[in-house]
Amino acid sequence: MEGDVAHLSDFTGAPQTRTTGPVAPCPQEDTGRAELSAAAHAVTALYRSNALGLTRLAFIMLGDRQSAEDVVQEAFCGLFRAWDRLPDEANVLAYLRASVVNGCRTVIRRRKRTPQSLAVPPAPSAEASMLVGEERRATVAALRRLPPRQREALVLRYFADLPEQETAEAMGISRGTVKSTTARGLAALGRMLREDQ
Amino acid sequence: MTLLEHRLRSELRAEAESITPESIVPLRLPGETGRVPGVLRRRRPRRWPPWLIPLAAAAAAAAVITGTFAVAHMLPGSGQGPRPADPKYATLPANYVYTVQGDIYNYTSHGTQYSAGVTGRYLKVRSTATGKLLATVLPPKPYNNFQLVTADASGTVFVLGAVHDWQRYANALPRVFRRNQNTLMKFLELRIGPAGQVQQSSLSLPVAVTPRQQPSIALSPEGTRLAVAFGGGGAPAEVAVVSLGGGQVRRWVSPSVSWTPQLNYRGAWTSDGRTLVLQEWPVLRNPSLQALRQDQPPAVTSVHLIDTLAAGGTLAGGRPLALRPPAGESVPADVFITPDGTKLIGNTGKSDFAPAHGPWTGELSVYSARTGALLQRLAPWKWNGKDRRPGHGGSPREVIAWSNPSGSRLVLLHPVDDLNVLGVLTGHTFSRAGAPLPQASGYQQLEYALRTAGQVVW
Repeated sequence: MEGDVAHLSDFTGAPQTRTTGPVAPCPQEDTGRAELSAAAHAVTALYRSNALGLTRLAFIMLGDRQSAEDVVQEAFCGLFRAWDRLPDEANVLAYLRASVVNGCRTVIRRRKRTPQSLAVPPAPSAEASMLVGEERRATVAALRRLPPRQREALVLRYFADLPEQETAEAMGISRGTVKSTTARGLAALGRMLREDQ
Repeated sequence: MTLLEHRLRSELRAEAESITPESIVPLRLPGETGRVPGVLRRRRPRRWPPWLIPLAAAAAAAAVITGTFAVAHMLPGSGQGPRPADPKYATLPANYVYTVQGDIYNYTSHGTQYSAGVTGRYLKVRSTATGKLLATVLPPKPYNNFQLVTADASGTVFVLGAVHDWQRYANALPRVFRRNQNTLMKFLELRIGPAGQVQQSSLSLPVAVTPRQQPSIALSPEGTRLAVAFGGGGAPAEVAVVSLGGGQVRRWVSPSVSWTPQLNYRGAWTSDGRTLVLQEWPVLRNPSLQALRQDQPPAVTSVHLIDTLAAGGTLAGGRPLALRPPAGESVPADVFITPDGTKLIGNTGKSDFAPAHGPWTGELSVYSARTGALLQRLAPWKWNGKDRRPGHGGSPREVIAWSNPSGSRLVLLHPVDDLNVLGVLTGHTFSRAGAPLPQASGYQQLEYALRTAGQVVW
């Protein structure tokens, strides 16, 4: 079963170690550390209650989980750095949402600048169609073909269920512009879905 | 709300639910220096005064020569110097590490779509006695999956193997990913101090492996040598034992075998750090649904007991043992050697080959490490195929977490009714309390890790 086996010994290539320093415990869980600052406690608590929703929001905008997680992590790190300078702690969720929307814009801008992969994805198998659902795939694909502003408006209005005023704050535009952008986005989305059928 | 608005809302929400609450990565805040913990950063090169360079080079050369000489005398079989004391196996190791599973990805291979889960999206280090979280460790980017984990016997040294597994097709729909099997794995080392402080370093091993080579690793009980097994499946198979502190490696190479060599990440070494257990794992070359349906439990599995001190020894000249399962059952999996090297213990049962709705049965089968004879069957469990499965409708799991030197006392996860529970097995008596089990939160955390994690090591 084994066949011929050779025994080689005394290889001289030395393994190298590179010390990268102590690993700090993650402040997400209670590790009993007293040295965590009040800001870290507050930001961690906010992360616990809002990370899921914000990651999903970024994921819908970007279609890429890893980038979505990076954007959300960066938003919370930004909040942590700016904690002492925040004018209004009560409005911190709006601040985070706007950071995530801005982060998504940055990711999309970078994608446009860098060459995309030339690899062609394989055609979906019957199994994949069953798994994902034809209609949902068409809707999400159409949404991702919309201009970024229209996509943001639709995601914030219909996925995050934000009223027009909060959508406007997250996008950094006026309420009137939210209305018109949403209407144009819906019209374009409807057109695309009809064409796909 | 129009029909289109309603459709948009419901379908975006359904799409977003692919991100589950359990899969959210922990927050990594910058420290005082602005550095994010757990992420390896490349250091900026330092500028040294020109006159210091020849002095530093001479000092480094002297240190390498001295270090190599010292390690050559410490490596078993290569000198008469003192070796680290054997672990006593009187108590559980001080700390353990477990992997946290990630998403399930769709990928295609030869025109067929498959799904596979990320086994180690990140991992957690906990104290055994208290269950306290000591650290959360993420793979260094762009690596995204801890596929291999192993530990020494004291629970203070861990080696982690990271793979750069899933790659995305940019902006592509449907969400089909490319499985990357060819990027070299990256290895990290964790050292945990007595106060629970965790030191992380990257290891550059003189053995390069890719996920395609089906690697497995096992750290020696004293934590100074790492065994790496890979290859096979129609290609050469190799086992290498690498000295982590020095620069020596011993290799056993076997040209073109049908099986792949498999090391259990727990219980692969005897307590004296001399014998290493290797199992021949069958590889299906052309798997098809028809072939799988016609598949029968293999009648026998072979294990090799490699004497790592024997000079000039080879795999073929070692001690391959044939382990036969109890009648009608599958061959033992996750073969574990007792620290004194007298017995081999593996999971056997009918769950893999029984009809879909049971009954499923299983137990631990104990074999003689000298002859391969089946000595006894321990901790049997049965699922009747009707009531809820053990593990809350999941899978029954029997996992050996620890053994005393002779194997007469085991700490294991064992299916009881519809739960997988942590307990200590003394002879045929299974109990959820008693030495060396931890108490209170330490017990709860360890049981949770053994129930849910892909790998739990110490």
